[in-house]
Amino acid sequence: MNKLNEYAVIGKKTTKTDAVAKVTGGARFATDIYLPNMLWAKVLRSPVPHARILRIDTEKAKKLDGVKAVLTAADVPEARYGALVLDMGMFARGKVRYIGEAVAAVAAVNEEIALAALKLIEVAYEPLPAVFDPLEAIKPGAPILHEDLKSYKTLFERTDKAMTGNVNYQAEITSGDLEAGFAQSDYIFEDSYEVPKQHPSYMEPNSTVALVDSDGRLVIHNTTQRPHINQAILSSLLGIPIAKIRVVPCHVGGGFGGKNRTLTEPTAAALALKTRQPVRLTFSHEEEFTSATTRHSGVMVMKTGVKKDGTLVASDVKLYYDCGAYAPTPNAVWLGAISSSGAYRIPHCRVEAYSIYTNKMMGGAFRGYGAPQSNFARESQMDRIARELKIDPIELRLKNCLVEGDSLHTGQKLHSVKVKETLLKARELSGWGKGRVPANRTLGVACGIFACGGFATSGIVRLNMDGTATVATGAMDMGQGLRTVMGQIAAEELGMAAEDVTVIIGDTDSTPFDVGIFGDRGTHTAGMAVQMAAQDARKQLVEQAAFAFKTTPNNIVLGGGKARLASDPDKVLDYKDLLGGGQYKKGGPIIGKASINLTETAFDPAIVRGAASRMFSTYTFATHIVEIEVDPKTGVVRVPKTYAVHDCGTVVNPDGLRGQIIGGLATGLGYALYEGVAFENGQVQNPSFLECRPPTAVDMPEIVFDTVEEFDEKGPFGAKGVGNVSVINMAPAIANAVETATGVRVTSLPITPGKIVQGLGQLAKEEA
Amino acid sequence: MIPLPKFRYVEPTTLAEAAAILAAEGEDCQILGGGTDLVPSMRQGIFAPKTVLSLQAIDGLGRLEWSESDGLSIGAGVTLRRLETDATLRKLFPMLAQAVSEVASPSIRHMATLGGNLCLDTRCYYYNQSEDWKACSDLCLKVGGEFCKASPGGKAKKCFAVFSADVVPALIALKAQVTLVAKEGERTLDLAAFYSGDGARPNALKPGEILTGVVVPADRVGIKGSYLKYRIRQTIDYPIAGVALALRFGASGVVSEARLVLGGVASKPVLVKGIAELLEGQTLDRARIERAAQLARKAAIPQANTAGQRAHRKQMIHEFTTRAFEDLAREAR
Repeated sequence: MNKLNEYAVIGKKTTKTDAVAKVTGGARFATDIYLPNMLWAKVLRSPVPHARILRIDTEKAKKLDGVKAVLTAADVPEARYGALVLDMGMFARGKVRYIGEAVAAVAAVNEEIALAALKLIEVAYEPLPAVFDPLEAIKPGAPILHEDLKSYKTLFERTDKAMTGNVNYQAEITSGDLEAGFAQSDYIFEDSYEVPKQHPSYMEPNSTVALVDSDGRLVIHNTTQRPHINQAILSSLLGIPIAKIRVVPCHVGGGFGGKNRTLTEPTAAALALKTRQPVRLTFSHEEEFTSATTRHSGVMVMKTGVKKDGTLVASDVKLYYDCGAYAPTPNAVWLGAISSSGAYRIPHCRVEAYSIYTNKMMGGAFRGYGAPQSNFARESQMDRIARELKIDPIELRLKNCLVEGDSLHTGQKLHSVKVKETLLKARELSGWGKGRVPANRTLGVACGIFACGGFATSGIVRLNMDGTATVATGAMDMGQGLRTVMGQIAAEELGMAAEDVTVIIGDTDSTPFDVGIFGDRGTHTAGMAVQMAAQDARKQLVEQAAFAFKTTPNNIVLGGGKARLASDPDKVLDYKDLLGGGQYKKGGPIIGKASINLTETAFDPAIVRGAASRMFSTYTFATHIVEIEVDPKTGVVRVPKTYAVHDCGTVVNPDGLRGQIIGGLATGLGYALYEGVAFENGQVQNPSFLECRPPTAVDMPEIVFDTVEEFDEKGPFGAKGVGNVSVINMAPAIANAVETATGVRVTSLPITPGKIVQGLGQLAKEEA
Repeated sequence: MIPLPKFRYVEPTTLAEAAAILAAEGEDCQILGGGTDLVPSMRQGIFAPKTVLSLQAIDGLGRLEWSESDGLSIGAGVTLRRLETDATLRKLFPMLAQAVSEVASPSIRHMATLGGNLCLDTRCYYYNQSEDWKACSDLCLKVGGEFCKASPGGKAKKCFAVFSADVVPALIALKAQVTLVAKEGERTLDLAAFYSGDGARPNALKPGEILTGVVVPADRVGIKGSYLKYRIRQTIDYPIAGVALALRFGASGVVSEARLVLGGVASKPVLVKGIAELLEGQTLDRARIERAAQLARKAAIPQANTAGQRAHRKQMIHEFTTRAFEDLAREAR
């Protein structure tokens, strides 16, 4: 049940806590930190896609005046890290596997000397055959990137195909009887789709300032989505106890999943430990585009069996995701497999999902996290089915969409499923089928599902003597507004005004553990821990009030920063009077806490093999309808309007929700029309914002927002997430609209004007 | 991006002084207009001048003057924003204002100057990269390598880096003249002749010369013009195909003058040959427009050194040429 009307803070307009600091330029980012005696670090990177390292000579670099340390793999512990596959060390060891891989690092008194020192490091390479295409990389005889793959530590249940050849992570989902399903089908559609790598395009580059403090502890100031995991990784890579490491993140200049990893921290830390001076390592924008992580490129092969009436019967999906030379987060492949059946009920399913090494830059986490790829395939094919069967695309989706109580192809039973309502509302808003759209515009639809929430988190709520509260969460705010939302949740639970709650985030010394912000965990999961901690504090506060009023706790009502008697509402005590008393305070200070894990049920091994997680807390859904204009002569596509209807549970912060959706649609629009990392022999050809082309404000559509009323029992006040699902529908919706407008089906991203015009047969053959 | 390399900054107040410095410093000196192209290029390591000579304190380079005898005189230091918003220019040469407004983004146009746009270096995937990036494979011709890597087959001994200034095709369509000043004196030439077609040395500036401005002749008033630009996004991006068309119509819709210039599809702005012969003395009809579009398409030689498919960029030239003619024909009616 949604109780939005009864809330004082939840669902109400609340200004973001960091709005003033960001707008006035006062917010401190990692690159704003300059410390006395700070050294500048630079990284020497591989110029070749695949080679054995015969020799590294750092002597000349070490002798350069102003150079304080030079490190290579030989100088650091031989430890590897990764989310599921522990395959990457701080520096290349024995081999380099992509252009841009870290080979050595220098710390010097200034940036110029650090750069000059890099040029003095001599590395002898013996080139090896390289492979750049994931489908080539899984063929017998392909060059192997990681010869000792089988011996690597992994954190998932290995399938037979996992950790062999160039396949690292692998998952299989089988439900129902696939052969029988295809036998029952009247039509079978088989299509292949291809997507490029997309860079997260956060404006702030990766940056760390590392230092050793006067107690000998390692301190890290950085830009990250996961301080506590940074801390754990640094501990494992450097052999230092977790308690001897403090990660203090700064404001994050955009993350979008791209900062759900650990890249600059270990190198800066190792150099700081070596030199005992503060060390700053900031990536150049070129390094961001060659040596950070992107959305996985890949090929999706989708075979779907359908009844004449449009009922989906069987689905056989193969996902070949290119993770590049290392697999820091192949979880994207797992999430791609989960989203690959779309928001649909398909009784007979098989999914085989592969994370494949190639000699290219790494694939990692990025908003949408594996689903933009598979949902592009699913939702493109849904429109093809609708067209062939002469069924309205929305009717086809309504006929097959998941409803409350259905199970996903993974066997997970779903609750809070309102995808049907998002389809109906988007249809109504857009005037679909009503002829309301201007003659030069065409509509296209896509809907989608994304896993929401889960994994370990915790929260602490302290009530202060003056009646205010301090909330601590290890979850990060990377601009999405997490601090504001956590404050709203605690304020609502404690009966306080939002401004009386201060939220501390990130600092591993003052916040409790959280696994990192990804997969729509922020509001839903970290928020749940904060709510439960606030409930704990509230319970103690009620007990204090009952003692003060000499009554029983059930006779106490909290609200507006005051406690009152239910039996005599004129009897009132301010929180500050209840919480004051200093050293003589009855029962001591009030601290509420909660530690939770919303991902505790394992998948059934008869259905899922190679699961990268346990069952997710819940799922979010959305329907997007785009209104596009296509110029049939030039193939140029514009998207003047988009209708975005989300099933995101209770809306905690309406402006925050809109902001998240705008950002998600921007990323989706860029993926659909403009972006894509281009490679030539493994080298990134377009390592800049100018050439990778995330959309600008001018390219953005007018957005009509709406939500469907929903209450998710597992989220705080019924809230779910919106960050990922807002990304995954734009590309297929635009591709679908393009086909309706022009008759051209584009099966690879981005949907360039050239592909459309070529499809229309307007490119002269000799020129193509 | 690297820290800006160290350089000596000079800001002379007269052209003579500037020319003297340039003559003394030679190739080690780079001229700074608004810096929107030079500074990022220096930070990428493409240029490392010992001296950066700013033109901003020189009187007269900020001139924007119209006279019925001498035409429109624009100093090299005039910002694109000023050109785009100048009432006289907008009234007399709307195509020029249109082309200027298509450059980059408003914030860049506030800084960028006409001189900078005219002297814009050619661009290429293989050239506009850092030193480290370039070191990963053979160097390209423009930076001392043997072949142009963007050329068909990658074996050409000529540099095919692409010319991508928006303002230039419009100015050439308007028969603008450019003035170059050196210690020894000044010379004036047709802007069309200023561009070499060699991506490695895209313009005719000799060592020691400074581009001081352009003049659009007074008799160009009354010309109808259209500039159409193709880029991936709706702002910021360089043109990957551009068409500037200038037409004068005589009595009963007969074309008395026609000039068509392409941008973003070769190493120089391409003045399409045969357009005047095809159209002057004729009325515009569908067949003639199609023939003109075919001439334009043939004259475009896009290479795989920037965004977009080559074939599609040729198609864009064809389509934009058609549209530019149709727009002007409509206007003339």
